Amino acid sequence: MIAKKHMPHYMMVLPFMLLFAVFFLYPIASGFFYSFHDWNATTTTRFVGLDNYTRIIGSRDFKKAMWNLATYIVITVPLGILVAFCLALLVDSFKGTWSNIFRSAFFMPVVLPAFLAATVWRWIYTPNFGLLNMVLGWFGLPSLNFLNDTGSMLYALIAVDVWVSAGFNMVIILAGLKNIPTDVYEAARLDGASPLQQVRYVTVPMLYPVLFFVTTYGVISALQVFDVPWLLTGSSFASYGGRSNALMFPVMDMMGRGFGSLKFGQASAYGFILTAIIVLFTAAMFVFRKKGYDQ
Amino acid sequence: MAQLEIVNVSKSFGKTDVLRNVNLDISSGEFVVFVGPSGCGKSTLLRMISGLEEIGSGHMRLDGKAMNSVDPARRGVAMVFQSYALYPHMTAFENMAFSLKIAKQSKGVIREKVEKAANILRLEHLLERRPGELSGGQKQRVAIGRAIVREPKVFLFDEPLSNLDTELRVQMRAELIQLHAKLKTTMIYVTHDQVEAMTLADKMVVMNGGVIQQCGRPLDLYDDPDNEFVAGFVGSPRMNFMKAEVISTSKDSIVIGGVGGEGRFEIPFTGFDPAIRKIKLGIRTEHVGFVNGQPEQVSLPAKVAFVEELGDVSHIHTDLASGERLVIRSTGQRYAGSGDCTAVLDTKGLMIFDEAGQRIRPTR
Repeated sequence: MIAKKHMPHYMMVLPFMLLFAVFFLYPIASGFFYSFHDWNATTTTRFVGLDNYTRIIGSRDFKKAMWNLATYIVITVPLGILVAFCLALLVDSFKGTWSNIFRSAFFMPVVLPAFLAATVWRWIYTPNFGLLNMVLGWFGLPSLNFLNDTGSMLYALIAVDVWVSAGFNMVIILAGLKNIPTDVYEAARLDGASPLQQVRYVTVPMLYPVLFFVTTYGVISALQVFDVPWLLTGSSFASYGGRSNALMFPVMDMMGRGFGSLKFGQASAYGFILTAIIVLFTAAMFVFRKKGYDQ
Repeated sequence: MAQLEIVNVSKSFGKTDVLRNVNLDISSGEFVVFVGPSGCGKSTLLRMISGLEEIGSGHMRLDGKAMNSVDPARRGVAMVFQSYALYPHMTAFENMAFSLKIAKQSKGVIREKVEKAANILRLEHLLERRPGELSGGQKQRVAIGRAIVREPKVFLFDEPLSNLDTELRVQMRAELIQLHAKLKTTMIYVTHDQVEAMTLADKMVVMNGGVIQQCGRPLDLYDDPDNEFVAGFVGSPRMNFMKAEVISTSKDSIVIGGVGGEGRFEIPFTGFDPAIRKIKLGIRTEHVGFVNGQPEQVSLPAKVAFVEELGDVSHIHTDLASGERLVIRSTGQRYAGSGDCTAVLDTKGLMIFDEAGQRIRPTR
């Protein structure tokens, strides 16, 4: 009786539930199944227990990818937010047309396809003829091979990703800045706070929820970094990660194991390891989050 | 305590003149209220005193020192905002201590000053709470406390009670009067509420269109307004106005006609300019009644439109034959009834304004 009464409701959610099951639940379940099997997509599956997981965790590529990832996150996330915050303050200080022009200009990299962004930066980083080496040449400095020198490759990638992500973070922070009432700044001015003290004591604490979101989002995105380092290096499953795996990252390693070496069981296990890391990171950030204040 | 001089101050935003040649002297320890309708320039004038708004032209001196280019924090003024403008992430204590912390005062001095202010405002038990945990009245008290700890020469209040409910507003008004009596500091207060202005002010400054219309003691403005705007703005319910025509003048009286339609009567007036023909009569509601027969009274036929019965007093809104509205204040009868009635004007309470709205006073 109750089921009959609610039938129209079930019918309304059915299309979504079907799509959700086919494109979300089934891949997760099958991925979980394959993560315990050896499978190359052509042969039948062979159960290997936790072998895929232990092989990945014990591999040199995984350790290198994790080390690169940790270094990348520690630098990219704070630097990206700092740059975005400064840009947001700059845009916020302009009014009318100039504000719109700057906002659009800084947001441009976000709408640029990753392929295009990487191509532009590959050109900027090109030895001898690249823009950056040209600038170095003006100052009499020697030409550098940014994308082939293991000491500079990671930092070259960080520069690109900060450039790409700054626009998005800036727009979010700018929205937060617009929400801070002007009279709070006026009160701070009357209290004797200098512009820098206003940023420190008013802007940053009042932007705390926004900065928390931007940081969480930044960390989650950084954990999945793939496209730009892939495009800056070999861009093929035969050659990726750059010289000495200096730009090897977990997602890239996972993709390589799957579509390069056809070890889909290992790739699935890699996916679950990465998911566990992302969930742990996010949970940790929420646990350590300072108790929000009632605005 | 400090004396403030405002000399020929003007301000424009683009092509819009917000303030025009404002001149005002504020004595030490005075409680001055700027009052006027929205957009009259009162808040802009206050913000110019605070330094948050640049002075367009003219001069502002505090204790004889020019303030035009002095930084807001160095003017010796403290401001209480309409929205409280408290720092939401700081406790009440931290909010009040902020200016002292910026001024690098020692922790002992900060604690002493904040606790002293908290004691004056009865905030001791709320010092560890954040603004989000305080009621509107408590937030406003913290905002006032933040101003007190700075020990300013002049307190500036920008419509500080507008966000509070009626009961709390009355209570806060009383607290502000007591605070002024206790601190004896110069206070400048902005409001659009003339009742608030009349209850608080030593000196009331009525503004309209960026110009000071009149300033003086509240009751002086009520009893003897300079123009139609002040007469209408000060007092609740507002003064009644009726168009009239001067029929004849003599040395000590004038005969006017067309009052409320056909009303024609003689009123005592010394030295009326016979060239003036069209005038406006103003009369406060307490000078209009129902009872006839007294020697200095004249009557007009009217029709009751509606009645505001407030218990102790009723405001009877009537329509005259001319279509003008005449409000009668009645304390004698609680229910006025409806239909036709006779409104009785006490000619002692009549004020005369010219067509431009300027008051015409009898010569003495």
